[in-house]
Amino acid sequence: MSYRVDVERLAVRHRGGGTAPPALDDVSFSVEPGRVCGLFGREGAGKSTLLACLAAYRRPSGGTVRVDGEDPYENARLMSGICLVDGRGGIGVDESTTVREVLEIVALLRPRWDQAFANRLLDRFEVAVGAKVGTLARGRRAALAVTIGLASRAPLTMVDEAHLDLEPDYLSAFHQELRADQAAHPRTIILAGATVGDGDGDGDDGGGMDGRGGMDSHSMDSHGGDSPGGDGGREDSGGTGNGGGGLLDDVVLLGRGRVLAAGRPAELRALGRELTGEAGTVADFLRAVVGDATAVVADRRLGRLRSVVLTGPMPPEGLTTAERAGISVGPVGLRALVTYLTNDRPQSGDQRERMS
Amino acid sequence: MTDPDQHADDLATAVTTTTTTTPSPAPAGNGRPSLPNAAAITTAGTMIWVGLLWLAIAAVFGIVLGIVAGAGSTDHSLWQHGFSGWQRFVPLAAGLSMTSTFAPMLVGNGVTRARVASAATVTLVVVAVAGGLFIALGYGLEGLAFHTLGWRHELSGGRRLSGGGGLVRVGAAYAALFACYFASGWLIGVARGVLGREAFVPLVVPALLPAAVAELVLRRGVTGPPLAGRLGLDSLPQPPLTLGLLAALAATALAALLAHVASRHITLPI
Repeated sequence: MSYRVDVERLAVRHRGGGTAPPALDDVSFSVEPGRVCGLFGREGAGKSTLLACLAAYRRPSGGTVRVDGEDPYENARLMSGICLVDGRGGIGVDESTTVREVLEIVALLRPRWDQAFANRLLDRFEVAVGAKVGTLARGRRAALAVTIGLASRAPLTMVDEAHLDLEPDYLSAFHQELRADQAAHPRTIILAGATVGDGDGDGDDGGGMDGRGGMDSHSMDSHGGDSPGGDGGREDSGGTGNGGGGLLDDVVLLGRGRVLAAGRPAELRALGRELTGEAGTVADFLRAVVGDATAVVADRRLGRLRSVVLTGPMPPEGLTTAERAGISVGPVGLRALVTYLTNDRPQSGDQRERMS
Repeated sequence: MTDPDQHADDLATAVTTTTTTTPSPAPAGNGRPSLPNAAAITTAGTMIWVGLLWLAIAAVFGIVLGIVAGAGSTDHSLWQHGFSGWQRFVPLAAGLSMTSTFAPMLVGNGVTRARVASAATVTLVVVAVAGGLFIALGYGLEGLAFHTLGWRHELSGGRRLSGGGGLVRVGAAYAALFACYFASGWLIGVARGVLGREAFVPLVVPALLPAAVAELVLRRGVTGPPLAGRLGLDSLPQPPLTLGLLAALAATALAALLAHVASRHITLPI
């Protein structure tokens, strides 16, 4: 069983927020039943708040949230079919309880709970069932969280960055288990994570959206690899690519409480272009070709070379013109695009000057 | 050139997703976010620590009684002066935990807030009744021990418990007192869950009203809170116990009703 998710003009203001900007503002997107959706954004982008609304943890300040066609808030049917876990070992898990007790509580309340599956996962993640949750290392708590998420088999399962705390081997195991169990028991899954991962094969060495990297860390020649609009399939959601095909059907990018982009990974990849060439030529090209619908989301210089990353539609003749002018046009990997689009730092005046 | 955010908005509207997967049946577990299951969690989760605490209290009481018997004698109730009076704060803490501990645990596992509130009501009754029994049992065993040792068994003001009827009255009064304290703790927790960490503080005083009502109307049965005599509370007029019990139960019922209504607005995480 899978739930459809419809979010329409969702707005959330935090309690006592005063004049502070809303946590979410005018957020709209949908996830079809049975899809695996990646929700990405930097810290503070509103990912957890959005998931909290979907999980009926809080009421929106405005707009609507629909799960399986209904408002999930205080909806007994829907709430029992929605599972949200975070990296603390699951939502509401008391640190003084043991892993076994946590699982007993979940088993008592979750209609689709599979204890044998949970035991197998805990064994695979090497989580001691007799250990108190408060004594578990971060990675083990994350393992407990994803175990609860997977073994609950909720029609809408959401993981709020818990998988990112898994050790690489266990992250790979989580991907395998998620793929296999999703195939056997289809459900709608939303993975909120800070990185898109290596699965898009863009060869990008930048650092995702968790503040550990950012576009300044990208070298001038760091892009290239896959072609935009490539496989059209699923993407891995973080950590190691395991070569078994992608994980994500859809991607939603959040930035400063708004949806920056939403679509299939391949479609989003096709929205970015990196242009590299002699600085003056690139500037001339930008002035002549780039219109209002296209934005420069990254701009770097190395000696006489200048590299810009553009997002948005660009007419084919524009690309031809660029190549004729000696500008190299390359694709932008999904991870890099996510980084650029969710980079909250405003375009600097220096950058705008350089473009003019 | 456009602002990146505005541009991203354009991108967001340019792409849609449409694939649908045909679901297959999943094996059903035995779990259910029902009231019995939710109440089992809140009640067992509370009675485990409360029970352990009472066990420890009973053990310490036994040790103290042994020491006093070895050193000399006393005619004044040890249970009243050292062990029972402050236990009103145990249900207060238990009431608080309904929101701070159990609401995230249960709502996080698919239980509605309304059902969590119903489960908390069940726990309130169990804690109150068990607490009343425990206190009455303490007085009873203490009276037996005092009688065996040849001591008088006097409460404050020279009052004495009149046999089984007296124990029943003390137990009932404590049960009502504990219910009020539990309700006060529950209301404080709900206020915090609804209003947040800072904004709930002004509501702590009105949330303590059920406990205050119990203190005013039940002093005859429970002989007042710790330090009641020194605070001059013993000299206040006291209603008959039956009237006090009814007033305390009414305060509890009103508080529970308010907690039920307000619980629906709890925002997680707390």
